[in-house]
Amino acid sequence: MAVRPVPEESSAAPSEQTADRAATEQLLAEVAARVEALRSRRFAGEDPVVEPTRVRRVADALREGAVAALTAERAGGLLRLDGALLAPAEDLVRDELDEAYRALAVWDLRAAAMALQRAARLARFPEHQQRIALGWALYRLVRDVLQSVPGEGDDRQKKERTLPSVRVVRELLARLDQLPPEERDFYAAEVDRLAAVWREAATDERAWCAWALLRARVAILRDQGTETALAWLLRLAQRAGLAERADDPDGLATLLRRARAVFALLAGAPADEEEELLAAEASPRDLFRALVATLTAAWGEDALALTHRFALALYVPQRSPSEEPEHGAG
Amino acid sequence: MAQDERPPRDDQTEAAWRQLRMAPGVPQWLDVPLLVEPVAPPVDRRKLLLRAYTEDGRPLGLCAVYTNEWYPGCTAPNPFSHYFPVLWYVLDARHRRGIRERLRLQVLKAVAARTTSGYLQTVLLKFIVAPEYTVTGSFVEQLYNCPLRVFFERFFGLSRDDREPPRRPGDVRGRAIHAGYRRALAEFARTGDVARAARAYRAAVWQEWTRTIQSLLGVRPGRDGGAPKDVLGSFGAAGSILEQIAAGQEPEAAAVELYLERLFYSERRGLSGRADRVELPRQPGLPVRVAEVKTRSAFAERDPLTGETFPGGMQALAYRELLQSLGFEAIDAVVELVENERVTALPLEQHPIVQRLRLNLSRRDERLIDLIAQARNVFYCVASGLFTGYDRYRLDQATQDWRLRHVVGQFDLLSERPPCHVCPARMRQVCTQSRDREGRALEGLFRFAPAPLFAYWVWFHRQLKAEEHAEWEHLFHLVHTPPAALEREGITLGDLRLAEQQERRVTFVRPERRLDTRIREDDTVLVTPQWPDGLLGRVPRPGELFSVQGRVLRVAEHEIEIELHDRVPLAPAGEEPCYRVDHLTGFDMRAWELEGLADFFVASMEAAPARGREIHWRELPPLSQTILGLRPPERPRTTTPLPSWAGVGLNAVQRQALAAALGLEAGELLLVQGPPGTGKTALIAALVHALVARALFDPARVPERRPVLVLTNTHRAADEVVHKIVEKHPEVLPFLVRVGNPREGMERHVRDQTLLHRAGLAEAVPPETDEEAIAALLAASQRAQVIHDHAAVFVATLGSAATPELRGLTFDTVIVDEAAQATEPAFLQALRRLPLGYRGRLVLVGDPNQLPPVVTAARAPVFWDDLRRLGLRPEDSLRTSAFERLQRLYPESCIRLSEQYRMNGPICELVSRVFYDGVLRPADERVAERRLAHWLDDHGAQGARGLLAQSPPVLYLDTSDDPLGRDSGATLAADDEGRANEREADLIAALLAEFLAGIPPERHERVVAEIGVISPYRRQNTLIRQRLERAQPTLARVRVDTVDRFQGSEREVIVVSLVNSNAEGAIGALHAEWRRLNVAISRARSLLVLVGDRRTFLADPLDPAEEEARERFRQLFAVVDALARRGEARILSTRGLYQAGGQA
Repeated sequence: MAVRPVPEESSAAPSEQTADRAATEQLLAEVAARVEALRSRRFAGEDPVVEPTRVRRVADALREGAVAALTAERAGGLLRLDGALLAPAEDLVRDELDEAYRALAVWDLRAAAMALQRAARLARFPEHQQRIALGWALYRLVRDVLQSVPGEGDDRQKKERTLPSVRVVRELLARLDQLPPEERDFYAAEVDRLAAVWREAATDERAWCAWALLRARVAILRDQGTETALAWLLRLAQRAGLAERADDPDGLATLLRRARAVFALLAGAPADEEEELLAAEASPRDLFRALVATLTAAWGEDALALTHRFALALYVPQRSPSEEPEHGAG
Repeated sequence: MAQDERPPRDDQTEAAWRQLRMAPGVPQWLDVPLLVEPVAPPVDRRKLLLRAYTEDGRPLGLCAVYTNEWYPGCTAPNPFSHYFPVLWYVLDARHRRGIRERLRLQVLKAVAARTTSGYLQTVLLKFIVAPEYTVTGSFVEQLYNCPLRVFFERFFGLSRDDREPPRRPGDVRGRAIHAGYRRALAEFARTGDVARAARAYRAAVWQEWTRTIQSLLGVRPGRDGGAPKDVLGSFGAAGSILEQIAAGQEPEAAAVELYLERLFYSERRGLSGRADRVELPRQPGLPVRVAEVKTRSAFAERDPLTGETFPGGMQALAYRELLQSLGFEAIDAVVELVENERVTALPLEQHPIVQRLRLNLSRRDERLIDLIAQARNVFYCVASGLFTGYDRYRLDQATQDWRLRHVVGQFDLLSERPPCHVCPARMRQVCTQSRDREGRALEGLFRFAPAPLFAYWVWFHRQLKAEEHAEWEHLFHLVHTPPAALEREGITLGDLRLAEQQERRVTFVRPERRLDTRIREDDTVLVTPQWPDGLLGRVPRPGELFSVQGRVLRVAEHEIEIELHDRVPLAPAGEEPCYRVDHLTGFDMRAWELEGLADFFVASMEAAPARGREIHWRELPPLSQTILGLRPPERPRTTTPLPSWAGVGLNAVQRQALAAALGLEAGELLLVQGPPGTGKTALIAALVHALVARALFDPARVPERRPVLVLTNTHRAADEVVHKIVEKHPEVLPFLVRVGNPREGMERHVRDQTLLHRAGLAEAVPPETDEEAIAALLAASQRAQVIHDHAAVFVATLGSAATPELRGLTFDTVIVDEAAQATEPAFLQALRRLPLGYRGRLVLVGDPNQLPPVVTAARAPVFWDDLRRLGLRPEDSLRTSAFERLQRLYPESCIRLSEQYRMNGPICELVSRVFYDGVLRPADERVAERRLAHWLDDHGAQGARGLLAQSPPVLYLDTSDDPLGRDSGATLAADDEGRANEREADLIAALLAEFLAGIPPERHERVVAEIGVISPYRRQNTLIRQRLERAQPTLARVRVDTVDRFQGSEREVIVVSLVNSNAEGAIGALHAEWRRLNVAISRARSLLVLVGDRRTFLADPLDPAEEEARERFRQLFAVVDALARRGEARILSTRGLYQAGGQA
């Protein structure tokens, strides 16, 4: 296909909304220099507050204010303005925290960790700092729920039949003094609930299968590799007694055969053309959907909905109707 | 003096640089030193442009370092290369700290690369960064086990919480077998006699079990009531081990020299250490064998195939590389594993990393050096603090990944997970990466610390690190500087001949040249033979395997006597038997000082009620707030009624101090200032007595919480406390333990209070049979446990506050004696022994007007405004003790003792008016009227003659007008301690010889024991000693010492040699510390003799830092003049004194 060459010179005039490159670069260079100076003082052990330097002209004062605000925000520092100490990045922290908790609720550990790291760099409000700490503890809990196979693991885990992170969250909650008691109570109950669900999965077949379905679902959603998803789906099928079905009314047996062919190839077993074809056609999503359908039919309830029991519920402050913003306002 | 026979290093560097350009595009192995400085601040994270110089400053041109060991034209970069990131962090940190000195690199590999624009650019590919900072083999091993642990332990200084009870010492058995094996092997190699080797084995095992109280307290009878398995096993292993030793010694193997625990040091690799054993073949051609002996308990790499662990493997590889860099060609390194009562040799070929990388150890493999360099460089970068600085955000970020991914590195070769079970960071719950993820991790440990706490930690930590660096630079300087230059600095003595060797005690002589040196008694030295070694092919330098460490016993005019750790090698036939002696710096205190500092930081944070957010300083324990200068302590409750039995024999002020100390509540602090001779130790003894008595009647006492711990800055002071308790309150003795092992010079009644002695083991010789040894051990262990369980008072030094004897114990009251002499981090050891949340009482006793803590770093620490809140001033440093700072902050919380029992009236007045605002006074008339003549009469030493005998209590010999009285200048270049004044030395010798001449000879010894000569300069003291000995042999026994070493002592007669006498009016840094003068003159009971040039000391200050000292000297001479007017002092010009006729 022919590619049109990039013109030597831009034909269109810049729109009104285009940033002024030179002025932007100049401002950013000032900010970078100020951030660098701040980092140097931090390196020596100080944690200085950013303050706009005094200037004579109003125009300069505006610019200086902007530079100082940007510096404080970039470096996660405090800004002194009119005698008050401000934390200019706190709105960003709030957004990051929202993202982190939402990510935890959908088992997106990587996104949660990144958002928590970004928030931790900037947070200055004590309640935000404690929500970050709680976020990390919940991150460990969700990771444990997801990655510790119920009924398996080391001796101690089996003996205590609980997840190590449960104690971490509980003990932390008791010392998060900046969070409202309702929020702490909510998460304490949530930790107990998740721990109970996970424990149940260690002994109850259906719960275990729901957990494995979740594991496979997360592997598919989070791009953890075809093989990971297929492995969990195969284990699930085995455990649910679906692996050896002779008839194939819903195509499940074929899908399982294709999945097995993938592992046979990986294990280096001699493969014929048919085997290779089967492996190439293996689809985690298809197998997942088929298993959900089969299990839903077998259990008489939505198998996918059962996986939701392993999800972390998020605390939402409850307000009385009078405190709720009026419908349509703001 | 023997010279280094290798070509000058700078010529090698220039030649290597030229050689690079001869073959463009071809990476070459150089292994040469280089100095570099960045052309611009390091901003670009992909390339560094540097200016290169030889070590003597010859410019070599520009060079570059790229990421991933890339260079223009490179086709196979290494994405896991650590060289660039480590160098970047180091240069960035140096830039931020404003360090302008050039950075030293040992360049291993470089290339002259052709750039796209066609010019040749030198690119450095592999190098050792700052090789003067050496890293030991065990640290290399530790880094490969867990890089994050290096951060916590070697940078931050974190250690386990000693308030927690100790675990059972399971590794003693391994250590005992290890010690037995080493000793038996050495004995067998020396004698070839199995029976003697067996005895040596038993003695070593016995010593290991009885050496530390930790072992002793850990000996518990087995289930059947008999000896425990560990003890039985360690003795029982003798059979198989001796069998192995005998079998392993083939005829040709006997032809080796054994070197055990020898120090070695390579400035080319930045490595140092002590290998357990090095076997050097006597015949050339055979490999040198390095053996590292380990027990299974040590964590180690696990082989992926066999699952076998390999403790000490990286360490042995590092030592192998170190020896190769020194010039030993063929090295055979091995780990000997003590396991199941056998010693198994593990060849390094089986090491997991060697196998994973398929390294060929039979030849030089660049990848192996890469591995060692990686561990060494990363260790340096992290442990020195250049990686994180004191940026609290960076510090917390560093703890987010146990492999420290920012410095990159091939750490994927490491184990899957960190070895958390032995890590203090996990135990203290500060590591968020620990394997089990249990516990309440202190997330944001650095970021959430209150600003004053963080500033406090930073300020002291940085200074301790600077001290550490100075120590390493000293070693590097020794190895790197020509011996003649070192001799001029006064830290090396060359051309010494071995005159006598009796076991480990040797005497070296140098008849042709006087030993003009700063080296003195008790100094630690290295003795190195100075003939070419056959394998090395040159004269060895200090720290190159052949050096033997020792302690100086005596320095005379032409000979030096040393007690060595091992025998020195004798020169082979045909070689001149020359040796050199090098001064090593003193005992390294920084490790435990860092630990104390980190413990204060973590324990304060642990006690805060909340988690996960910034902690306000008000949330820290009250005592932490007080120490940080934020919460004044309660005013001393001096009116607390004392029980009738308490405070007997104390004066009124001492009784007030005692009442205030007894009235302290938990979390409170009391300062007691005790000027010289005011009975500080008597007060401490009375306080100990009262606290023990009070605790014995307390029904609610917790067994692990003991009533009182006394910590002192020196062993001498600790012994003094015990001595005073023995003297005044013997009823306390059954409950008193002097912590530590009996030491040489310890008085008998002090030694009797050590746990080993009380358990009956201090002087016990190893029993003749294993059965007897085991039975004796069990019995002693039971005795020790009973004594330990019932002890109420422990007396220890600050350095031994974390000793196993005290593990698991906390104290209601901790008393720190000599608190003004301890650095602040050292003082923090006291807090490690208070219960959690610092709910205990702290009593600091000291005198900030006497000597401050001894530190080496000369550079003033960085100061910023936040530090003022802590009570610190820009001129403060590690020399500012906690006592001084806290007294400055809370003067109303300090009780000053004002009645002294040492100096007579005139001497006391001199001291009091110059240093104590005139408040210090003699305790009674008997003290005030004390005179030398009375003392001589009382001791049957009548007949003393000359100036001293006729003198009033203060005699000043003024050398201002004496043309011979000028000082030598600082001829020994190392530092200011190299000044001397021959005239003053001669005057003192003549004065004392004259004094002694009329006293009956049988009384000389007694009299001489009561004379002390003090000068701040080591070189002057050596000179005075030599002159005294020459003047009158008995005078060789006069104690001549520096002020620092005289603190705490007293004499009837004290002679102070001021030394400085020059036209410039230079008084030097030692006199600029005015407290030294206080200590010097306040040692005298009856007669004080000052010898010096007042004109020099009264000149205008050359440096603003001298101002206070000049003022004190002005006051001193003014008071001496006033005393002279009253006839209580005599001032005499020394012009012509003791010259020609030899009489005054």
